[in-house]
Amino acid sequence: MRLWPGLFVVAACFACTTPGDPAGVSQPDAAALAAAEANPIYQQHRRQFNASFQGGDHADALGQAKNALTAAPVLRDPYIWVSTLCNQMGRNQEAIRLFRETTQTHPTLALPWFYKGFNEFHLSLYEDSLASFERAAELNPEDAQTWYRRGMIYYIQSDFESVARMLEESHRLDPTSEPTISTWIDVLRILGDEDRASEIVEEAVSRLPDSAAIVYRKGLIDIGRPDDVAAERSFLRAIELDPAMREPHEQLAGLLARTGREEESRYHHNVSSRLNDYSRNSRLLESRLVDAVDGAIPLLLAEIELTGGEAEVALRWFLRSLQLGGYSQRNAAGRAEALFRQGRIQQGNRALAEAIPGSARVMLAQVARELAAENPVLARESLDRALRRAPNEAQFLRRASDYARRLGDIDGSTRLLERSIDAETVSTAPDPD
Amino acid sequence: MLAFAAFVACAGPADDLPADGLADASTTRDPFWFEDIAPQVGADRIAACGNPDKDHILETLGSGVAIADYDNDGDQDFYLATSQTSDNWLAGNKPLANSLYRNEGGGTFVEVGAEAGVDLKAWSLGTYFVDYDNDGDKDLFVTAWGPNTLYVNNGDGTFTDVSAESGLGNNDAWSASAAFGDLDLDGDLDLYVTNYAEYSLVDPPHAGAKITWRGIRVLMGPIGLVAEGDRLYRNNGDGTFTDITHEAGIDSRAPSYGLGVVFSDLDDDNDPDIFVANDSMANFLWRNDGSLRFTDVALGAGVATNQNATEQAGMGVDAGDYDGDGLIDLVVTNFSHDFNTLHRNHGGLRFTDATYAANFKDSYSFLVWGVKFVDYDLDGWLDAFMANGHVYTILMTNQQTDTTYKQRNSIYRNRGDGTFEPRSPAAGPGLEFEESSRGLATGDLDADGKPDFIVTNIDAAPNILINRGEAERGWLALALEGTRSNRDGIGARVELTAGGRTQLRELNPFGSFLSQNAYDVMFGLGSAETAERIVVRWPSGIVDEVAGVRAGQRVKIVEGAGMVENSE
Repeated sequence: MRLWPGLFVVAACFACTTPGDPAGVSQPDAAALAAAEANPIYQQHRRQFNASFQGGDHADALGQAKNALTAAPVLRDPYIWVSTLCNQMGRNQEAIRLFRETTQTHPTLALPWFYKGFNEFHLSLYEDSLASFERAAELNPEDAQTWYRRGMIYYIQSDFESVARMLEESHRLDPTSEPTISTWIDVLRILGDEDRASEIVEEAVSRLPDSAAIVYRKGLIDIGRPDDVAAERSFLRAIELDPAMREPHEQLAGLLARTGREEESRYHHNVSSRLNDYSRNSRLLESRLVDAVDGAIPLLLAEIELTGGEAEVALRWFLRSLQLGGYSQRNAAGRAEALFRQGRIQQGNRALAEAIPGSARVMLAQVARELAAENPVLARESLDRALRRAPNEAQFLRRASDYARRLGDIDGSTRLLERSIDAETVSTAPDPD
Repeated sequence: MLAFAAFVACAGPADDLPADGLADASTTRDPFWFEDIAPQVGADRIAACGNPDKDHILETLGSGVAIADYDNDGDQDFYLATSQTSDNWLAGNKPLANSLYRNEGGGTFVEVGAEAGVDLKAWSLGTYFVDYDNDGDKDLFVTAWGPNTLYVNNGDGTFTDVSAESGLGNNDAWSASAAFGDLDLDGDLDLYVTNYAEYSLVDPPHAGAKITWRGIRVLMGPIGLVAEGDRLYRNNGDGTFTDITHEAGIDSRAPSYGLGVVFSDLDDDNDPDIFVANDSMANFLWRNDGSLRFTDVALGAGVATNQNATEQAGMGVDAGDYDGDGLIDLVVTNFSHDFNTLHRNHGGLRFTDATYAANFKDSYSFLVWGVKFVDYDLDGWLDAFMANGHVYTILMTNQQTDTTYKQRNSIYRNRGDGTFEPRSPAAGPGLEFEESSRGLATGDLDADGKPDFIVTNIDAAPNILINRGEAERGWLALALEGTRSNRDGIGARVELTAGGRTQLRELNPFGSFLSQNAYDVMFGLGSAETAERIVVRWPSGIVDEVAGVRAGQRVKIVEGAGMVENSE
């Protein structure tokens, strides 16, 4: 299963995990890519980019990324680097200009059109973005992501027939993409084509049986049939796969209330409400930034984003919190955890060194580090230590729950999630000794 | 007094209609189409809602309209609410007054608010004509940011403010929609008032706070404001009301941002239940357990959220049997980039979200407020009308997003197979204009049997949309008069059989958003020339049945006496 990244995924800058361009009508072949990759000028800028980025010198990193792009415009990585940095620095227009120039100097390449579309999308320039993605698709019709992105713009424009067409093509090119399948099912249902949606769900569940998002959608189809027994099974399975997914909890709450199981219904409704508080809190806290006198609010926002899996956004809030002052120990632990979650071990270790050793938050960050380093035994030990002095705060407990789940401890994960329900949603209270 | 020729002079027939009688929505005009006659009748008063820039959420809700025959002269009058600009309010000035337009017949209206004593100068939101004292004339209730107001109709064209003595004037909150109905079946009308949130213009919460929405900085929504609990009042039958919110169990749920409310007997057990549309929070469905006790069953009934378990930004609401299965369904309007939600009733308080199946998908582009199920094309199926308009004024100048501040309204034709078809703008010039609309009410303003609409617009004059239907279709309008039940028969269920099909209506003039609809129960009969049978089940339990009623007339049915008057 491939979980497509969001618009800008810093981890990809280092791991270079994004797949190479599929064979396209006018795109560089494997030999050309290999030659570009071996280009010593490109390699030099790549190394300098990594060093500058990891050292926090984003301005220099951006310059290196641009040079790398110039040296090897057929490779995807430099586009990601430029996009990521420009986005972080609020300079999306600069990325758009650069990619536009690249389309002029390399008119047969799909990549600059694709990433130009990315940046335009981020600025909500939907018509421009659509035009860029369309050009990218003309040049490289075999790239599933391009079709998916076009679909997302049509979604915003409420042209659901076009969304379905785009996602069908994207799915044909990459039948393992969870976002494509999930959205395609949703759109087919919006279009009233429950039969087709049902077919896709059945096929997807057999292909991706461990995808909570897809199993949840099977539950939606079950409810529509209506088959409450099957729906309950699907929602329970989705929760088992991802206890922090809110929707199946809420669906179960309704279903259980209908069938007189009030206590169980209340439990799932409470979980759902707590998870919902999340997005609410982040919006609310963001609005209160105008009154912020210290780093508390951005710190809480950072932790909410970190819990929600948005490590990059979390890092921005941590930095803002540092600027406003206060909570430096907690901030350092949080930054370290976010960096570890991005696979940036060295930077994470540097941040962790600023925090007081032995605190629960440091240990939680260490769990993230060991998971990133694929050391489950050490991760488990750190988690156990972290939980011995865990603060009674929902964000901390939810992240701990997530780590427990990743370590295969489903029961422990569920118990932690339950604890988080009764805990403070956010808190700047000192952690227990 | 201003006359308007356009009111009575219909335009020529629609041309080039396809075989099914409908035009291509993008090209030619439908046989049932609408024309805005507000300018001709002088209904040009602008309804303000705070300052035009909308720096406060308080300034975004707008105000409503109520339609009824308040002077009992046989035609429909209307009342329009307004608030004030925030600058004026903060300076202690309240220059803008609510307006009462009396229908003079023959296509003229005259504004008589001051003369009638209802030229209220407040921060008004919802408006409701209602005969709360059962004396045969319509009184008037106005919700507000600040105390609500109740006027009693003196029977001579004037009203008297009885807010204080009635017990309804002490709700010093930010009230939105309200609904009246006989919840305890004692023959008088009780009242539910939705309240939104605590808000002060002097010391506004989150002053100046903005959020990022589709790449632009916009006004923050309600999340984070302190919600104010809704209120339920029992009518004591002596002109006073008692707040029974706590005794009735209405405060068993945490306060939410209530905006829309409708009463309807959703479980078909002969008493009205209460559905409340909440903004950004789960909706309520208060099941009437009898003896003025209520339990929120929205979660189990499947109406707390949409089908994706998402709490929506509920604004307006209406109840009606859109699919003709004899069960009352619900429609809830929501924010843009979400769908209006159609909750289909399966009986036993079990609903499923039929939004997609019913083809409401084009509502995704609109931010929707007022809503009404009404058979505007007289084919015997409940269509839907929706009032649209955004809250972010920056959308007037920002071309970056795919939506606009001013939006055209939506009318959906019921195809009779469980699906709807959007008909704007083919439904005429009245569905082409773009404003930021809010309130919506329906009534037969020109007494031709076809439902008309009044739409309120924020910081603009209203639209009075006259139905210029040209197809030869039958209709019946029923005026109900209760004797043991409440005087206007609110809550009565009417089943009409014509052409072999039975239609269900419930007399419920409330619902929509901040607005109240005319009291006649309107039926379209399609090609049928006669209603074979009309059965009225009154709130008292009395059932009246009349047979063989010719189409094309207004009929009066009195509880226990059957049909006593017709216009033939």
